[in-house]
Formats: sequence, structure tokens, C-alpha cells
Amino acid sequence: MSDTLEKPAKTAPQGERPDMKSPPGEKRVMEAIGLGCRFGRRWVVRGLDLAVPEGSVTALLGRNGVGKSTTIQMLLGLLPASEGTVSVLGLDPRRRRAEMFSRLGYVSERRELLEERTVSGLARIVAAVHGERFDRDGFEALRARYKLESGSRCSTLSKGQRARLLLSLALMAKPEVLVLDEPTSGLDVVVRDDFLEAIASFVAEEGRAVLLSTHLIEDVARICDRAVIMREGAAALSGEIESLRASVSRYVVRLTGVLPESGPLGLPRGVVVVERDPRAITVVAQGAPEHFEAALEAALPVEGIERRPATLKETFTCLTEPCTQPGPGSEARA
Amino acid sequence: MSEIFRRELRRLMPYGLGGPLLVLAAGALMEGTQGLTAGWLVSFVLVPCLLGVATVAPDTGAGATAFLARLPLDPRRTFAVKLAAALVWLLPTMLLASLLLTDETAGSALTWRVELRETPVALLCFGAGVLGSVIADKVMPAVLMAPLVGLGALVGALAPPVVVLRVPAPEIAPVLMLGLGGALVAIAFVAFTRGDRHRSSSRPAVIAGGGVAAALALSFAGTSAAHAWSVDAAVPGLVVGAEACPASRDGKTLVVPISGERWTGLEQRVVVIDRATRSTWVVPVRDAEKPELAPDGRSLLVRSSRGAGGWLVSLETRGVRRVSNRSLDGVGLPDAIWRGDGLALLRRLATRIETLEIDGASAQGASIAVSQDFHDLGVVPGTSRVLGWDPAGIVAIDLPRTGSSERPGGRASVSAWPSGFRCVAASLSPSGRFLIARDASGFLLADLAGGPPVSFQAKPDARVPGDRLAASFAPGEDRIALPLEGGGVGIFDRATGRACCSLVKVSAGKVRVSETAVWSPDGRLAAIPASRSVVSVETGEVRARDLDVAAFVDSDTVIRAGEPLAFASLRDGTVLSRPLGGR
Repeated sequence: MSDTLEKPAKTAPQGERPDMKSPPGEKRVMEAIGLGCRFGRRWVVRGLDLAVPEGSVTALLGRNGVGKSTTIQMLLGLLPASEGTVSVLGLDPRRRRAEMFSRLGYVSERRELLEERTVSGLARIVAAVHGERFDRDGFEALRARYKLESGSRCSTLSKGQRARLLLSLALMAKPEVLVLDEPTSGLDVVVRDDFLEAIASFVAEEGRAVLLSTHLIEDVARICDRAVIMREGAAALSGEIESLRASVSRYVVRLTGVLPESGPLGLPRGVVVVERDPRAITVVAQGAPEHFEAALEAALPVEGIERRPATLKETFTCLTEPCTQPGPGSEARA
Repeated sequence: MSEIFRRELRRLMPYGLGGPLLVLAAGALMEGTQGLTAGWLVSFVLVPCLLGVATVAPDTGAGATAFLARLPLDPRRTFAVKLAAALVWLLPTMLLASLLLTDETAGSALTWRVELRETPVALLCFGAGVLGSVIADKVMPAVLMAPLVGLGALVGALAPPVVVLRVPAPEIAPVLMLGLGGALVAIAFVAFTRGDRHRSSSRPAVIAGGGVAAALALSFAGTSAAHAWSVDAAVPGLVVGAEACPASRDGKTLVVPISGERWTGLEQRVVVIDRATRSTWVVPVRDAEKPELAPDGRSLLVRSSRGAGGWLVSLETRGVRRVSNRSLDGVGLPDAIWRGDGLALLRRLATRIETLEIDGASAQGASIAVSQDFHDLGVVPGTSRVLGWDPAGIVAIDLPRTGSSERPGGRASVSAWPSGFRCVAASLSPSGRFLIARDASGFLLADLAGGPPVSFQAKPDARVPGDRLAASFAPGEDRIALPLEGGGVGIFDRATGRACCSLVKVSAGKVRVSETAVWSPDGRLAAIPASRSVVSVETGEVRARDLDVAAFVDSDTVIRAGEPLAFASLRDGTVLSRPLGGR
């Protein structure tokens, strides 16, 4: 895996796009180049480059409404992309969706089921569709472990039960890739642990990969080794989690004077305030520390600056801060 | 796939079982026609429509379509399975309806009778339901949308052939419904597979709307093509109509109405024959009837049999101009006034005469008030003058081009009827010089140029109705054919009022105003259509001919009603062959 950060161009023309070739030895099971989607004249996602290497758990991060679910639907061929190309397991998902879903498991955010069916009835249908690939015994074991009654109607299942049922069905079809869209949101701690454990076990086997869309940093910290951070419909940064974390610093600035309780501070662009009190502020920023320290000293009555590594949460906060410049969410430029 | 199919069968079971139950309930609770109607509506409209709606919309609303889209299933197969399951459940309802909804007059109520003629209705309703189901992502909107889609598509597809081609709706509706039903299902198929029905999206509606629009455009294009084709293709099969064929004064031009039942319905055309060159031209308008030649023979007014005006045809340039009747209420076109510089249309109302100038692109009207007892009018050819008559005498009215007069005016008395003559009907000669009138006891001919009136020694046939006298002047206006009492047509000398030949008997009530007699161009022969006889004016001989005479080309050649005009070529001009001696 690459240690360097890939910074894709947000709206760069094809000719200027950064090299998305995979590093030597890295096999990508999912790849998108210049992906874009617009509804009417509004671009929801634009210029998104994304790669999910084999053997990785890649987190798709971003604030609410930034286009994570839209991106996943485009990646899976469930939504036509307005621009860009997508390849999943070497297949065009739009043209060969059925074949792709025979090798890919998907747990959607809405957790749709066949409501009128029972748990075992639903499993029977999924098993019939997947054929011998589906592990019926494995499903029964997982069902028992997740305490899902075989005769329960899907319409009566709770949110957590639905998530576990969907994960069980997806896992027992032996997919090569698992795509999970906000799978743990709304789940209690125990169910979440079960869920994350199952994902970790899945990816432990050779040749598998997971793409996990979430805004729960704790989940990311526990099981993800890579992340794609979306900001305003495009990938702001992508790479290994530790590299991303290392790129962001936390500055505790002690002040000689007293700051007003509110109001703008005139901080340089890219600096995000995470704590503020009258005699000190804590900010996070990505980039060269010397540059930011000089900028902070110019903007504030600084007594002293202390720099520490940012936590993952602070890194996420910093990297998902919306741009002040017009982004893909604005009017379509094409 | 069998699991999916079983699931669909189970899911649609309430609809499939509910249909037959509703049919049985309708039969049990309602009697006679009401029961039949309700059962018919349930079987062939309601159940197919609901089963169509149930194919996709309930699944979409509940998220099942999204779930199925994430399985390794081809959406085309998914849709096909849904359709198949719905059709399987549709069968019991339709078969039960076929058993129970038997016409009682046809025999036993349990006569096995598959209602093939109802299949198009059911298929259309099913297609509309399926399409509504794909467009809407919830059941209730789909249920509301289905009839709109079905009716809208049917009306859209039915209108062009019925309005343009005049194909009777009951004949074409089953074919259209069958085609539309299939088309709606096909459109739904495309909208489902290409429209991402598994998520909230307007894409399926856009695809469906485009598909329906394309289907209707195709239907419209097909209708237009069929119309264009039928305009030409229908002509060779048409025959000469049993009505008078106007001829120009110089006798060079003859206009022949032809008609016949074709697959497009009743076709009525007008053929213009140039007797000098023996070339013919079919005026390129349909529903054409009652042609009227301008006195100079250069223009032709053709009335529409569909009650919407007519056409003004230039025989020199062969240009055809639509004459709208919008500003003149009523059916067809009223009398035409040919002037040297154009045409005016004239209509008589109870107390007014209205005219409409058809002059270039604009149309201007004039209105003149007349008295209540005013009878019919006759137009003096080549002038703006019309002659009217009432029980007291004959008056002339010069029509203004524009404006109106509320008071009876603009009239000048031409002559008074002789004492004791109470005119009830009259007819103007083609030249406008003579007016033949009748009262209860006899005929009187007035010479408007100033000659003495001539009385005819014959009693009129009072059964011929109308203000306009059923009289027919020979081309030279020296003889007149008149309908007489007791059922017969007499040929009279205009100057003396004497009969030229013996009375030609006709069946009672057969004489029509326009067809008392058809004269040969030289005036030597008069054909009496009502008697199927031809009279030689010179010898008084009456020859029975077993035909309805349509027109004389000359004294030796007759265009016979009911005979086809055979055309050598429709593209390079048409040549009249058989009636004119084998050409």
C-alpha cells in the first residue's frame, strides 16, 4: 500500500487528472475516475477519484449530504453516473450489474428487505438466486448467533435485526467485496460490536475488500485502514488512515490577551477551531507546521504555540471542513 | 428464479383471488344487465388494471424492488417474472367472466365462450396498470395514474385515425387497444429496466412519458402515412355517384362526384374532366360533394360532406384553398355567388341574408334584413344580385360587400305575380333570366328580361317539398323538366308552356330538387334519374335505361352512376377510360 497521500483533482480536466494507476503490487477491486452525478443543474458529486485496494477496509467519510450514498450507488451501478468511469471487480457495474452482485455484497443505508417474507423465506430466495455459492449452513449459524428467529416476518424486525440479517445474507453469499452504507448507524453498542467484528473477520480472508460509508469515527478507527474523505461532492483526500492523521496537526495557542467570546478571528484558510476560550484556542490544520505557526502569530496575540498530533476525530473535522470557494455543489459548470 | 416466481404468485394472490370473487359477487348481487355490466367492468377493466398496478408499485413502495435490484438478478428477468405471475392470476378472472357473462340470448348461461373481443380491453387495462405501477413508486398514485395513462393513450392513438381517416372507432378500437396494451407493457419494461425503479427517481416517469409520446407519434405518423396513401389509393375503387354532374357553360369541363365504401369508410371525391383532351383530374380533397362550377369554368366550389365548409379549386392552377364555414353557422356551404373577382357565400336566415366574401386571404361579411315571408333566393350569375320571391312578387337585392342593414332594404320589386297566383316555390334558370314558380294549381314562368309570363298546363306535384322548385332547365333554357302531380316528370317548351313529350312516370316521391332531369350538353336528351329513363326531346321518345344516369358527356355518351372511373395512372394524371369508350 502506498504511504503517500493521493490528492485527486476536484474538477480537473481529464488531461490534468492525477495518475490513478495503482502502485506496484496493489490490486484494486473498485475504482472510480472522475466520477460525477448531477440532478438537473446541481452537481451532487463531481470529479471524484476513488480506489478500494484488495485486502483493505476503506472508509468513505464525509459530512451529511456530501454525496456518500450517491457515490456508492454510482459505484454499484444503481445510479447512472453523469460523468466518469467506474470499475468494480473489473466489471462495468451499469452493464453487468447482475454479474457484479454475484461477487459483491451490499448492505444499504435503508436496509430494504422483502417485508412479507420470513427470515428463512428470505434466505431461501437469496440462496436460490446465488445458487451453490450461498452457504446455507453458515447462514443458519450466523442467524443463531445474531438471535434472528427463522419464522419472524421481515416487517417485524428491528433496525438492528434488519442490519444483521442483511449482513448475514451478504456474507454467506461469499462476496469478494462488501459495500456497507452507514451500516452501524442507529445500532446499539452490542450490535455494533458484532457488526464490526463480522466485517473484520470477512476482510481477514485473502482477496477481499470492504468499502464502508460512515460518519462514525469510532468505527473507522476500529476497522478501517484506508479512507476517502469527501468534501462538497469530491474526494478531498484519500490514503491510509495513519498518513491522513499525520498530515493534520493540532495547535494549542496560548494568548497574551483576551479573545472576545464570539466573532471572527481572522485565522488563515484551512485552520479549523476545535476549542476556544478567552485565553487560548485549539485549532487543527493540514499542511506544513511552520507555515501555520507563522500565520497564527500574525493573526493572534500569541504567547506560545504547542503542536501535537491530531486525533482521528480532529483529522476528520479538519479535512471535512467545507471549502470557502465554490465547489461541485454549486451550479453546473459544464 | 422459481423462488422469485413463487413469491410473486403468493404476493399477487389477493388480487388474483379477489377478481373472481368480485365477479361472482357482482353476478349474485345484481341482476340482469347491471350484473353483466358490473361483472364485465370487474373482469376486463378493474382486475387487469389492479393486477398491472400490483406488479411493481407495491414492491417499490416497500423497498422490495430495491432489495431485488441488489441480488444477482437481471432486471429484465425480474420484470418478466412479475408480468408472468400477474398474467397467471388474470386468467381465472377472465375465464370465469367468460363462463358467467354469457349473453342470455345466445343460449345457455354456461356456454363456454372465450370472450376474445374483450381481450384487447383487458390487455390495455393491464398495460396501463403496469405502466402506472412503474411510473409511480407507491400503490395509490399508481392506481390513480393507470386510468389516466390508459385513457390518455387510447384517446391519443384513436383520435388520428378516427378524425383524419374517419375510420369508425368501434372497428379500429380493438386493434388499437391490443397494440397499445402491448406497447404500454413494453414501455413499462424499458422504464423498469433502464429507469432504476429501485430508488426514488423521476427517470422511469421520464422514460415512460417518452415511450408513450413515441408510441403516439408513431401512431400519428402511421395514420398520416395511411391517410396520404389512402387519398390516392382509394380513388380507383370509387364509382360515379347518382347525382347531377355540373358542366361548364361551354361544355368543355365536366365535374363528376365519385364515391364508395373503402376500408377508410365512405370516400367521396370529385373528378374534373376536360372533354376536349379527355384528361381527368381528381381534386385532392376528401369528403367532397355537391361541386359547383363557376360560370367561367375556371373555378370550382366543392362542399364538404362533413359539415365544415369546403374548398375553392382553381382549375387553371389546380390550387386548392380551404373555405372555412366558421363565420357562417350551419352545415355545409350555402349558396355561392360567383363574381368576376371572386366568390361570396350566401345564406338565408329567417329575416336576414348574410354573405361572406371569400376574397384572397380575408373574408368580409355583409348582412341584409329581409321580411319574414321572404322565400328562397336565386343568384344571378356573374353579378352581386340575388332574386328573391315571396307570395306577392319577385324582388331583386343587390348585396353590399360589407356592412349590414337592420331594416328591410336594398330591395327593388322586379315584378308582381299575376292576380290569383300565390307562389309557394320557385327556381331561377342558370342564366338568371327566367324564374319558374308554382302555386297550388299550376306553374308560371316569369321572364325577368321583360317578356310576358307563361303559364303551363300541368299540375305540380305538391309532395316535393321546399321553397325551391324542383325544375331543371335545358342548357339553352328553351325547355324545362318539371315534377307533376301523380308522379311523373314532364318536359315543357319554355316559350309556349306546352308539353314536348308524354309524361315520364316516376315512382311517387322520387323526384329530388336537384335531379328532376339531367340534360345532355346539346339539350337533345334528358335523363330522368327517378325513372331511369332517357327522353329524346326532338322525337318525344322515352327509352327505358336500366341505370341511374349521372351525366351526359355528349348525346351519345353517358356517365353512368355506379360505374367505376378507371384510371390509367394516378401519378401522371388520370385518364377516364371505360365510360368514355375504352380509353
